[in-house]
Amino acid sequence: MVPTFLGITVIAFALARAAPGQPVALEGDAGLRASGSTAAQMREYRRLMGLDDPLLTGYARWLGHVVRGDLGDSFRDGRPVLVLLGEALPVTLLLTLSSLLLGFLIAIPIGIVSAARPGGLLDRAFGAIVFLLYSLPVQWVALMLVIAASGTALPIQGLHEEGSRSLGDLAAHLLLPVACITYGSLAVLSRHLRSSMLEAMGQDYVRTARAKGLPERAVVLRHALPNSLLGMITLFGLTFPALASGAVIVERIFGLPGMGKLTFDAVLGRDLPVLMGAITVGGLMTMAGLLLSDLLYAAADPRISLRGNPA
Amino acid sequence: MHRCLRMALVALLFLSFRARAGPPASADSDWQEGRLPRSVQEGTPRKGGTLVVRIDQEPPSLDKLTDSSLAIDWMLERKVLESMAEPDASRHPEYPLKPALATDWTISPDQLTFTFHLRRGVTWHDGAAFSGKDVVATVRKILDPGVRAMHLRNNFVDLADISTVPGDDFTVVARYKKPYFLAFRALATLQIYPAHLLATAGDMLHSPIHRAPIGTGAFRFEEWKTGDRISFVRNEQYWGRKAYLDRIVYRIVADPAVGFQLLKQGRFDLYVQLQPQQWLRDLEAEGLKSSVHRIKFFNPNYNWIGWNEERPWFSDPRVRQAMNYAIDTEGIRKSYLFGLDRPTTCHFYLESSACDRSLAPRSYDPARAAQLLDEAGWRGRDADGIRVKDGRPFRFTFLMNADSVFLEKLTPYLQQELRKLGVQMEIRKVDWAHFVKLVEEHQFDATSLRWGNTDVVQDPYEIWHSSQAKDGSNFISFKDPAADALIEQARTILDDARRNELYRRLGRLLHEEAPYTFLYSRPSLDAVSRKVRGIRPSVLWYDFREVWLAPR
Repeated sequence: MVPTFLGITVIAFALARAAPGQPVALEGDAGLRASGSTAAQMREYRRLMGLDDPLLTGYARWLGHVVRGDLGDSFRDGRPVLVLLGEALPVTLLLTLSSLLLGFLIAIPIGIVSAARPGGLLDRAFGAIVFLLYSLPVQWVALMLVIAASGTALPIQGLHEEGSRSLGDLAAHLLLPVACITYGSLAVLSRHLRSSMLEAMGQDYVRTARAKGLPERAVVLRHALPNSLLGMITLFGLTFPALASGAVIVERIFGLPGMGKLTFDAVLGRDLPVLMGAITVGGLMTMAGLLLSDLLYAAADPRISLRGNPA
Repeated sequence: MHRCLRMALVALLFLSFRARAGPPASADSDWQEGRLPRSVQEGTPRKGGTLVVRIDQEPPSLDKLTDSSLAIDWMLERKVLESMAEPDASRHPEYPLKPALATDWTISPDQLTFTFHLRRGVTWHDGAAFSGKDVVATVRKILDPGVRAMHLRNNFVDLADISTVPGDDFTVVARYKKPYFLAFRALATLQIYPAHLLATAGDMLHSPIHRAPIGTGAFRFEEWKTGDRISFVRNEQYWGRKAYLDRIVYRIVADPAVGFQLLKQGRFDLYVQLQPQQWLRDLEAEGLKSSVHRIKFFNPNYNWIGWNEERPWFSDPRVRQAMNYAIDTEGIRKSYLFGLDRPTTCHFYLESSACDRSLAPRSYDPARAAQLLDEAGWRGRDADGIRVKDGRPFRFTFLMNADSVFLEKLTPYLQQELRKLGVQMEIRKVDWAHFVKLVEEHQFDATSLRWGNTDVVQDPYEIWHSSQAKDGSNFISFKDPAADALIEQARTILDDARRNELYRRLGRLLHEEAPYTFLYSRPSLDAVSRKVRGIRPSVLWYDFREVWLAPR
């Protein structure tokens, strides 16, 4: 774990520093303000932000802070990176976890139905629908949803109405963005489940189950399905890192201050501490995702044990 | 009788229908021009209500000392923070200073000593009393090398000393080493911070007032919800006439299409920065004409194409003029910019008397361009038909910011026009942060940018003086002794009219030398709800102290 973590910090630091250009304020439509920026001022800025030090010194200082749980302060607004991540991560997790849950809830039945009678009408219809959704660009879908919803009472911006803290209000605000993040994942999830179910349906135990006269429903749901879910766990582990990186386009359109927006702005403005922090968090989430899926394997598959094999 | 009554009724209905159907012709021309009708300034102001303003970008902080961002100026200047004097927004386009935190001031005959007499009985939003100590502390903070205040420090390089008079905290005296016209205006309009909070603010970045400013203004900071909204409330203890509005809420909506839908829903009272097609077509097409006024207003800004004079191609003014003649700026304005931008040939605010209005932009004339290139010695041609001089082909690279929608359209056109003249132009697109660095380091042959300013009074020194080619903003290395002399002389003249006479001469010189191809000034395109009264666009943005909401 420790070498992996060190590797993550090296990559985070190197990536952030490798970007050409320099920290700038992001002005509306790319105009410079006269007397707002001269080379001398830029040099002064670099000095104050400690960017003139050699790379190795910079890395050592940053790592020293990171291991003590301090990711530094944002160049842009001077606030601790941890505070910024602490604001953005919950928004993103709310968005992506609900989308993940919704995705699985919709995709699993579709996968089962498709696999139950491969090549059947339902299989082909669902296949066409999920692939159609998969191919729709998210900017376009989001804008269409916004325009469609603007005539209704459905909110299209932010997480809450001003002054409201109710769960219903939050759910209403999340509806459109979550839909935008979810629809594209249905194809991957449902098709993945379908193929692993088809594989399971060809196994001996399924033939045995059929041979002993179990109804088809029980064969599919009790025998084939549980054995196909292992593949879904792998998929879950792989999706996990994406949960923390956020969804730049959806966050921007619906005005949700999540990780996507934070990272994107940090890249554009070369806000190095925030960028390095976001990459580090992404790396940690990947590690956590792999760990979590290993644990889930153990829980789902009796052949895999957390303890070493008894001799 | 009965029939008469019916006819009268029909006539009445017809009249009222007409009244509802649309405003009279003059109001329509206001709509077309993006002018606010006179009625907006009429009526008896009424207290109460919340003004909701859409902005498209969240400011990095609410701190003038560390960040120079337009949104910060909009939200804070004259509303939350105040200065000793402020530009008078009702006197466009001169904006002379009028008293604010200072009641009056004197300037010594040698123009080196400024004395400000401050208003008594002013309190900070946290209840502390205001005095000259606050002014002194604010200037000291700006001069502190540990504070990221480079953008303000420039204005105070010649300051010898600033202090309050012993025994009188309400008189501030500032002495300068040499006379400089902007020194007075910069100090007089400096937004003052509270000394008692600056004392513990360190580098400002970690201070509470970095994001929650404390000022003396008519509005107090209320709350900042990151990524969502920033709000201010009326200061009931304000020293001047208290504001009419209860609250101002700035909602951050980045996406223009979403913003427009919210405008349609009536969520905003003021919508800042509509896209040109939204302003021109969508507002009317979506039936918003009856609920909003259109505003089109020119702030001090212009975009330009700069030709790097350190590069062999552009050291000759004839070549630069040729580039100017090769671009159909009027055609571009009409076809790419919806005809909304205004052509300019002047470095200064285009409505200011610092501009010589008789200087017309060079009109599109490829034959003249070819002739000038010939005269400059670019006569030979290589195998590809590219002009050659002293064995060097005329092949250069145009550096552009990849986000610019305008340059995305302009550069391919320019490439094509120049190719006809035997000039090969490559296009290099880089992102903004990288672009700024390359431009600062003069690593470009030609590029395009926009200069913007928030005051009509400005000093061209940093952009046009030869000394500023190193470390300043003279990115194209324009070096001309006559221009230098004019710029230096103007710096010592406090009188606007006399100084502007020198600037008009500078303008004529720049027109001949053509270091930039001056393009256009871009208007702000806003929309304001018809219930908003007392609002007035100015180069200082909007002054919400005067704004009130009419009952619906």
